[in-house]
Amino acid sequence: MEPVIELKGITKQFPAVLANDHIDMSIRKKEVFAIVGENGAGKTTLMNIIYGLYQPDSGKILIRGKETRINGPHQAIAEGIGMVHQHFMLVPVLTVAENIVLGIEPTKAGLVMDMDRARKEVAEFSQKYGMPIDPDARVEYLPVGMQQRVEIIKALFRGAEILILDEPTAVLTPLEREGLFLTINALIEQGKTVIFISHKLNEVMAIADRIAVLRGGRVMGVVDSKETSEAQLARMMVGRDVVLDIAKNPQKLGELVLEVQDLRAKNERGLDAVKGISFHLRRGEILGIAGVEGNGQTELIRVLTGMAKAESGKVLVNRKEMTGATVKSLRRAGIAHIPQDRLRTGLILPFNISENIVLGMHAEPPFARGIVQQRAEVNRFAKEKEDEFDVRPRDITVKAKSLSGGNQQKVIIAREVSSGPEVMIAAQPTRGLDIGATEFVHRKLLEERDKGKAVLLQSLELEEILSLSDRVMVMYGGEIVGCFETKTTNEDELAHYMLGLKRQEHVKA
Amino acid sequence: MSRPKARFSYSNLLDLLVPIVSILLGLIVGMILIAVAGKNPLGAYGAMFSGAFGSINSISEVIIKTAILTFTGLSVAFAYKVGLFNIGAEGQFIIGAITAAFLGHWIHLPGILHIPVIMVASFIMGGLWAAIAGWLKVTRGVHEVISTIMLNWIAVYLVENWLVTGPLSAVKATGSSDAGTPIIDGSAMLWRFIAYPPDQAGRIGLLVVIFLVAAIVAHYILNRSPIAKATNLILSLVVGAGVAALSSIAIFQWQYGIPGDRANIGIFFAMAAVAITFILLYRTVTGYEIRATGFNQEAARYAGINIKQRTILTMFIAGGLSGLAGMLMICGTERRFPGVFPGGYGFDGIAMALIGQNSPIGTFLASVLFGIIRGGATSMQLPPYEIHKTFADIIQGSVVLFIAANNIIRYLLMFPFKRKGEVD
Ligand SMILES: Nc1ncnc2c1ncn2[C@@H]1O[C@H](COP(=O)(O)OP(=O)(O)OP(=O)(O)O)[C@@H](O)[C@H]1O
Ligand SMILES: [Mg+2]
Repeated sequence: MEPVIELKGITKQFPAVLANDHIDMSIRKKEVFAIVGENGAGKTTLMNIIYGLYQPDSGKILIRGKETRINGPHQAIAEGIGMVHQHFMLVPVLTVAENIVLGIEPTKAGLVMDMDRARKEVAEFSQKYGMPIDPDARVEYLPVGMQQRVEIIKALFRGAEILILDEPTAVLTPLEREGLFLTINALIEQGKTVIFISHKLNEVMAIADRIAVLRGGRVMGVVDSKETSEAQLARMMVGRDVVLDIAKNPQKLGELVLEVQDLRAKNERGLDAVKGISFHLRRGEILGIAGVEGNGQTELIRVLTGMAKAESGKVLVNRKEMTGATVKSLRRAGIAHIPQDRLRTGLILPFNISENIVLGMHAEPPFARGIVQQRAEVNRFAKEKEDEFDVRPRDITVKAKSLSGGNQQKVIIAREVSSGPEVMIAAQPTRGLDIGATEFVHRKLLEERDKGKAVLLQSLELEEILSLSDRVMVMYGGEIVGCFETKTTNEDELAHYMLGLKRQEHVKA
Repeated sequence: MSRPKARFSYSNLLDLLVPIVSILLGLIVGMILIAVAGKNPLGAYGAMFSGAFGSINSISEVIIKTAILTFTGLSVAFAYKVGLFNIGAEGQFIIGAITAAFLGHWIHLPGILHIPVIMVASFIMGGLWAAIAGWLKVTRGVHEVISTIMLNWIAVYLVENWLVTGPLSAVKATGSSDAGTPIIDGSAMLWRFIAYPPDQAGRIGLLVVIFLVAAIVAHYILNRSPIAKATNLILSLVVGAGVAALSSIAIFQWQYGIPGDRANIGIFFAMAAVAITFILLYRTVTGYEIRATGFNQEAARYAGINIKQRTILTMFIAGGLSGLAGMLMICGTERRFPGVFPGGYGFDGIAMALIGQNSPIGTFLASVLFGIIRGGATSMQLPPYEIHKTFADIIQGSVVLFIAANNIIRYLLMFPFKRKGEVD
């Protein structure tokens, strides 16, 4: 097979880090080429170079055998390269069809936008690639899996032959992931090439033909997926053996810290999203929330953390009623929150690491005395946490927006864990983290539990929930449809409840 | 303790270059226009700059303009930090001015108190005027651009067309035939650099200000070292007293320092305001919360910041800064609210903030530059150039235009560095 893209000696230096260091790579037509590597290894940077968003300092790119300088995304698109970013770039208030034709709108007589034609074309297109979607739905109301579909169709619509998917599965449920894999296979059938980035080695093994491993901006090797194993990949990535399952200490259950009674809440669109939820959480326990995205988990967590108001019901923290309390008083009462959407909620992108790492604690001693910020103290703390949580680069003056996805997440986790919480509410805490970092976060959450703290863990990864939680509750349609001791259940059983095929008569959570 | 080392980055440099290049381009546009009018552009610019520095009187005008522009500029820049566009600086300026004119004539206090009382009152009145817009924004979702424009007009009609010609007019108060409000008390006049020797009270007032500033700065610096609170307090007071004692020699001896006409200590207030807003924004919890809210409301909420309250507070402070600009104009230069009000400083403040990239120090530098251009423009009116003084507005307008089109400038500046391309 002839290569469609060849990279020769691609090097990219950022002020603080050498993100790509003489990268050689060749990608063949009709293959799924995976790239794996730790957070900050340089995967996204390399893809941004291919897509023309960055210019390499040195090295060249050959497309279909011809040396090409890609000056910007428009040129990448002209060369048949499409990219779906780690963080989506859709316009939330526009419809699916409007987003897809954005910038290349079909027109009537070259003037007026022809929305009917756009709608029809989009519908035909999604049919052709087996990705059904409603062209008139507003993007902001679509589940993440669907938004991703819009991104993919958008790229294909612009004539992409080579499709770059940067961590496409990080936001998907197992079911949506299966859908994506079917799409990828269909694309390959039609002669396209896919570059696939993921931290989940099992996925990479399942979908990729060949796998490149990056470490510290360098290629550690390219292997055939048939001739390697997850363990070998992990070793190449990290440079040591990685323990994937962690031992869990026996549970020491303590007092009740969080109690929720018949809670009801609406979502941002004003529809009922949480429909009478009751549960309790005790010290020394990790309670998992399983469920397909969009079944009220997000709204439940927003209410518990004070980001949204409940319609009715009660929330008690340490037996004190805190229904409708502000974020500030909830934080003071010991609620920490790892938010689902790190860019929108968890970080202030133009702030640097130091400023971000005290967000929420910024007004408390020792970070402030009265209204005066104690910058020396903040910086000292930031440096300490950077080391402890292995945030890269080790430079507290780097702005959050120039951190790699995984490192952004580490900043949030470092902050929330260090705030000394009574209850840690974690929404998809390991989303986008590499295996080493995931393992680290898991250990941190278990440590909190062993220290007698309580953890409410919401995740789309059943595996993660089953390996960490002591109890699991399943949310479906805004209700808790089942609650289980983790020891006595399994993925299959939970999946039935998650899809609404089964529910317990009297849920005791 | 080692500080993180500052790194050079082209994108930081660009932030600096954009306003500088815009200013140069604005000056070039001015030259082209002069040339088109058939006059010698270099000569005219020469006249402008020598005019600005040519006489004591014009230097004095430059200083006055700079001080007032700094305050209104800071006002706009400050509001921008919480994400609001304060078009209402003009209205807040007028409100601050009338407050000063009123308190300057109708209450009588010794100099040591009179000025501070007026300052506080003008700040509060200007602040409240702006806070209305902040409050409408957070409770009713009224866009601040709309509400502040309307507040501007209300201020104009309320003050210029009613108060100044009616209840507060000099005619009513003293029976004199002067237009505007009556002349303020001597104790309310800001100390002019010379011309009219200041009264003792004014000098003492200045000493108090110096003492407070020195003590606060010392306190702030000492706060970073690991000494106890009480020690810090005592040390700061000692430092403040020391600095004040040293300055007292200069102040009481200083009879004929810089001779000037209307220039007054307001320029020092302006510099202090630059320092204070900088510290407030970048060294305090309040400033952190204001900036966090301006960048990302959702994340600010997540951090437990009361964004409504912060928004209103920011508008209050922004309005207060404009109010102080009005106070400077009344107590420093005009000494009454004149019949024909030399307004427009509020609107110019928008330009100063934009050119200064909304940073306190940048705003100050822009104000100095345009203080000079405006001060000098008067000289261009004389033969052989005979260029109308609104010419300064043309330069200011085109600079703002180039700043607004900063992406084009960025693109052009980036060209030689395109391959480095770290700029996003
Ligand atoms: N615009 C930028 N400015 C400065 N540094 C950057 C920028 N973009 C990325 N970096 C740095 O380059 C390095 C590589 O980042 P990159 O985003 O390519 O990592 P990644 O392999 O995609 O990681 P992740 O798995 O966490 O997404 C990181 O250390 C990051 O901080
Ligand atoms: Mg990445």
